[in-house]
Amino acid sequence: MVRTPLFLALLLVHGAALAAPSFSGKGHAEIRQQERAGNQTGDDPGQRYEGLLEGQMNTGQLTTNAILLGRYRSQYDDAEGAVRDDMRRDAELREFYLTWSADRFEIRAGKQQQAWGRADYFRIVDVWNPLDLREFLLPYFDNYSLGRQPRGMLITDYFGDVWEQQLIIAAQRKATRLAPAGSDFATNGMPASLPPVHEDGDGVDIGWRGKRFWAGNDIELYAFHGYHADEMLTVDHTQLVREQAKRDMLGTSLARPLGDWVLRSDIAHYLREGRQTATGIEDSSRTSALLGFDRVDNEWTWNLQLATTHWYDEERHHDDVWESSVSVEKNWSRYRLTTGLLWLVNWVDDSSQLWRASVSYEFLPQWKISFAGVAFDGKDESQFGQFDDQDRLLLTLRRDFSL
Amino acid sequence: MKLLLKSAALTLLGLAILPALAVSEKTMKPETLLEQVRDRDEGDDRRSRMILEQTMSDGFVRERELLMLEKKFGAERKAVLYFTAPADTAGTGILMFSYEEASGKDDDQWLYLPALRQSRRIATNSKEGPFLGTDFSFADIERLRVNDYLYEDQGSTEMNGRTLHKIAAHTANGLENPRTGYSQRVIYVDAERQLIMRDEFYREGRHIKTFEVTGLKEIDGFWTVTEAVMTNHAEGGFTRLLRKETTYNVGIADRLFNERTLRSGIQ
Repeated sequence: MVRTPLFLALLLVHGAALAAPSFSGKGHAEIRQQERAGNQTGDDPGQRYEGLLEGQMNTGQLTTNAILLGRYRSQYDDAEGAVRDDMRRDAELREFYLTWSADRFEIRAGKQQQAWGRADYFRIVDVWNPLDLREFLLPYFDNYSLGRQPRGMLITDYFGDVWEQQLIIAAQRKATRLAPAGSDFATNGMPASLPPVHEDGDGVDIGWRGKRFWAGNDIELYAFHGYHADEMLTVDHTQLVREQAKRDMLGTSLARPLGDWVLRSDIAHYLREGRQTATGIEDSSRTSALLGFDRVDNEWTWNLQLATTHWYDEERHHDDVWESSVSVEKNWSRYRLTTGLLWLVNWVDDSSQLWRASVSYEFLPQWKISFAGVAFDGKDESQFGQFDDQDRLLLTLRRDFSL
Repeated sequence: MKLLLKSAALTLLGLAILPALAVSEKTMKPETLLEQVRDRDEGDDRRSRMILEQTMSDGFVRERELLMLEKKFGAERKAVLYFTAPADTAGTGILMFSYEEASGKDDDQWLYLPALRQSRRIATNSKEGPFLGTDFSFADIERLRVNDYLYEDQGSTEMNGRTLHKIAAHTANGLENPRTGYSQRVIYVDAERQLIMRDEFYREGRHIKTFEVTGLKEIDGFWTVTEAVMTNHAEGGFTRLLRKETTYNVGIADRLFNERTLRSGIQ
């Protein structure tokens, strides 16, 4: 029933003249009940419903991908104005792009996402798709691709004998989507009344990636010129306005096995990077680096990461940021059970942290029920501490299906 | 899930490789016989559709489908596995480079997870863990490594109308091999077809698993295992591996053995 419209939409793109297209599709439906942990006050987070359909049509060298997403959050039924408009429901053609493949070339055009780098959670060189932080990262721990906002991009890959090269052009800017004031994950420190959001704006992002496999090492180089994903506040003719500052970045990544572990690393130097100050946006520069280790051993998965950022800015005190993560997952496949523990730490002047514990059970094929607890800790002005009153328990029922 | 997928990818490759050995000399040393199985001609390339059907001890059945491409690059072999079903696994891909045993190099592997839109490098040192949560381990699926064990010829035996060489294998120190998790094996080889038809796996003297070929067909001049079962005696349950729509020497392009294929999939 659902397959038919998706199939027809993709067929239209390919044109009726194309012979024998193949179609594949899948999706999921999810219901989540959220409860606040402890005695925190505030509206009951209530239920969150999500449905996603994903289809791919292939006709030889041409492939079309489309993803439709719908969400509804009961918590914002009685909210007013921007909070209700922004948070209650989403319905979007999330991704829609065409891929043309030849022997040494591949071109992808349309609304899509492209991940750069080797890091989880920390975006050292992953600059292309801004995040959707309206519910912070809570919905995306298990599917980070849903946390990125797809955008219109033209991506060209050339596959040489030694190097793979990628050129990306995004003709329109897109900004990080923040939680509106009055919602659970509204950021502390932002004025209660803000100028209007410009989710899209004029301005071109352009980037290059070179990639090769050499002596057991995956090596990547990056260059980016464009705009910061976050909108910052500045004063323009006595008016407070939001603006995406310009940024230029050079970076590199490495991944290689190291005994029973895999070592991965991202390093980036932002030659130009905007920074929010009390008086507006300051042109600055920074270097960020991440070191990660992964190990998979008999259904245990360990991920350890340490990241740091140094700002080259003499006038400010908070010049270094440290972040780390520890993730441990254990599959009990004989019992169709998966358990996981995630610990994220951020340190500027003080540390703040996020804990997430989860257990998931496949009670029927493609039916899963999962239970998770999320806790924040730290001072009010810190990255995770600002959500200290948003600790919560989440019960999720999910059905995956093929089309 | 990440772990399950990592584990799952290799199994298929192993199965394709386990069954290859051709030795017609009854006096041949077990090592030589197994080397012939390892180096058996499987064409320049092969494309197959595979089904992994796992029946757990409580009767729960889990089925996974994937497309698999394999190609020989000199002494090196490359394979791409792309999962097409069920929905929670579809879109996951695994890329594997296997090297000549004499080179001493470990395999290189990458896993593409659609939830991340990124490929991850996988360490290949320890292959003891289950492949995609099934009764196959990564070690069961990898290219046969003759030097992992010492061998003893135990004569021949009849099985399903075929004469098979029975070979006992054990680690040099009698302890479990840290890479495979097995200390002992009893291997039944069809020398003429250069295939392992049955393999019994032991750990600390305990018979924990049995691999058995239950379907065999000559396709394009190559004896091909079309069905095999791994029975788990330690934990109960079994996994059936079905190989369908197999074609050899179809001229699979070199460019498909690349991380790009993990993202875009196999058509």
